[in-house]
Amino acid sequence: MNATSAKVVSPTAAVYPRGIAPVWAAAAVAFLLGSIVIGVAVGPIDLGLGGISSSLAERLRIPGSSSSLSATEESILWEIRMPRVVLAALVGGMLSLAGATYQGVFRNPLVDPYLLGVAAGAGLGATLAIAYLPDGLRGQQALPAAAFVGGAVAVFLTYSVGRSANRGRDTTTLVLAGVTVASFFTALQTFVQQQNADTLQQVYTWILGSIPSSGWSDVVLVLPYVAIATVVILVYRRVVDVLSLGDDEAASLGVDVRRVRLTLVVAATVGTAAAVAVCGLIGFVGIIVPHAIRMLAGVGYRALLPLSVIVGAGFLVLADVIARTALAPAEIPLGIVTAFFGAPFFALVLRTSRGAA
Amino acid sequence: MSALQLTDVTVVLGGAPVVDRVDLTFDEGGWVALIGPNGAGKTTLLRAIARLVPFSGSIELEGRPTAAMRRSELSRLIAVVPQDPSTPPWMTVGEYVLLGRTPHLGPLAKEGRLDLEAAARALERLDLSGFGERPLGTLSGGEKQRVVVARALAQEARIILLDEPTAALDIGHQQQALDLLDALRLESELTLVAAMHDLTLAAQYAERMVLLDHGRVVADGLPRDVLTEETIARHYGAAIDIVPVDGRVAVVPRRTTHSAGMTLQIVQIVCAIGIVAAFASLQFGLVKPHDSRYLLANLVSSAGLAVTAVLTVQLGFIITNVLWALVSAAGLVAVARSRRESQGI
Repeated sequence: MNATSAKVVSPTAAVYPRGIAPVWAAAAVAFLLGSIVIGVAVGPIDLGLGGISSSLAERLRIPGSSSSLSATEESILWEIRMPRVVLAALVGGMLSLAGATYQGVFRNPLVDPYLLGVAAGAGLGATLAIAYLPDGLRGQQALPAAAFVGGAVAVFLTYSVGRSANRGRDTTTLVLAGVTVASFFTALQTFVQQQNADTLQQVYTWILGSIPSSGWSDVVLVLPYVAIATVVILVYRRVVDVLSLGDDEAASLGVDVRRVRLTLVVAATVGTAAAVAVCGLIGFVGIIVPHAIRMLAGVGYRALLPLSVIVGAGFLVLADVIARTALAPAEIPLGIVTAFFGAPFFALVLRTSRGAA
Repeated sequence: MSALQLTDVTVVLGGAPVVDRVDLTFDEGGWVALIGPNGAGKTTLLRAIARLVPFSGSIELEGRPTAAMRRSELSRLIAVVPQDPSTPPWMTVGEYVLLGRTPHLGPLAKEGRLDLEAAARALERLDLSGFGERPLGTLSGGEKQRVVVARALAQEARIILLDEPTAALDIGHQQQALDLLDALRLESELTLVAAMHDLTLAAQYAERMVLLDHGRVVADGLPRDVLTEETIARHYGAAIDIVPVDGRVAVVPRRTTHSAGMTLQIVQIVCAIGIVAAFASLQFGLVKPHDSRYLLANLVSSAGLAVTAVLTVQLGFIITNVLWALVSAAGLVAVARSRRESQGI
């Protein structure tokens, strides 16, 4: 039936899925590795790059290698700095991936991973835990768990409010529901905080965010959520490009919009909640990183999402280095560091992306 | 063979039926234009066919109800070219057209060689081969429109629904786009269903027209049978002339308020001048009662008055007509008086 004008397709016709350009992939990986090296090497005790690499070689069981570090230095490297760097990388990668995902799913370049109330919910959960749990329970296990549950409850509320209003079709409804739920939870959180003024300092420290120096236990706590969320989102990364055409067009292209969006939102939210539960509210990562990548590489979501993970990880490792060294031995809350660099950047994005969004 | 069958399709939006008990059958390989005034339900009907809006009744594709199909399966059979497609400015033409392969991929798969070829073929057929790497933000309106059609072609569906495919284009690009769609339809035996506002353009290309009004099918048939002055007047509230052109019909709007009125007003003015001239010739004694021109002057003034009266009543040019009627009446009175005078007191 096509015989009349079947044309020969020229091999030069440039149709290819624009993946990650090798240059950008290499740059992103180099950035992450560089950040990790800096993160591991910088600290009150100078371990020296030679010492670190010899220790790493020994750990990797490279034949003929032996660590030149002392036992104390070894434990500083492997029990304090390394887990902290890894945790910062996991959290940074997760937050910027979640930000990029939300921006794609909600077709709004200015939303961040806290859009659906996860931050406010986690804040309430953490505040309740700090204020009411007995000291013995308040430690490492209870606080992240309470924050995680609070975040999950808030997002669940947001989703049910947004859905019932308009059958979950309209993303604007969902965003507004997020704002509503966030205000409500923030009000509750502030109330609890005011009732328990003695815990103010602790609550604020948590809210401003920090990467705890608590060894590998927090890494183990966060890793499964972040890993699952990242895999799910990256597997769907092609569909995020389709979603960026809007619900109707995505549906007419065969995408079950509601199911895919729910999957992506749940994945991004679970990962974010896990990150927030351990590290508190670290702002702006989810906006700065995806936008910086967009401005530099100008790519679609298919490439943006994996790049966000790598660059976000490197970014937060560097931010954490600044947070713990700038006023050493005191630590600046990480949220302040990211906001200090993030807010001006955000203003820049606002100015440049007007209309192009 | 019927490609698409709609039975008793109703779409209720905001409590009111926007598409109301529609029964339609679309033949394979046909070009059907959906026409109708704004708000008639054209877009909603297309959206119901594409299952983008909940409906009651049944829509069957090649004998199978669409309601029972998976989303991706439906999208392999029906492609949609929306009225206002979103074209992310950062996306390249190649990437955008590849999105048309989505229903063939499933949510997790990656495009294979076949998909790249299908997309390249679609670009080739729309003369966009060199455009693969251009970002959508750099294209003109006409180019964008072609890219969107290319995406629909890459979808390799049997039926393409088009919502106002030419709304954003100038007349040259409108023609180009529709010629192209027609060629693609004949080449690949596609079924095209297009909602269109431009009736002349629709009549040029469509084999069949379905006129919707208030969500119901009110006329269905060949363009020349559907497009009549009477149906257009009734459903669009428009005064038009139907002009046959090479076996097709063109719809020409009639300018009722101004340009048509001009001619008639000139007639009125001529009549009025006749009345005044006749009046003057009698009044100033230029024509004597026994003169042969006396009768002529009287005839002219009465006929002029009659025409003015008819125009006024029939077409209602209120202000000018009141004025001219006054002048005419004054003229008539004067004529009568002068006649009485001249008949000898």
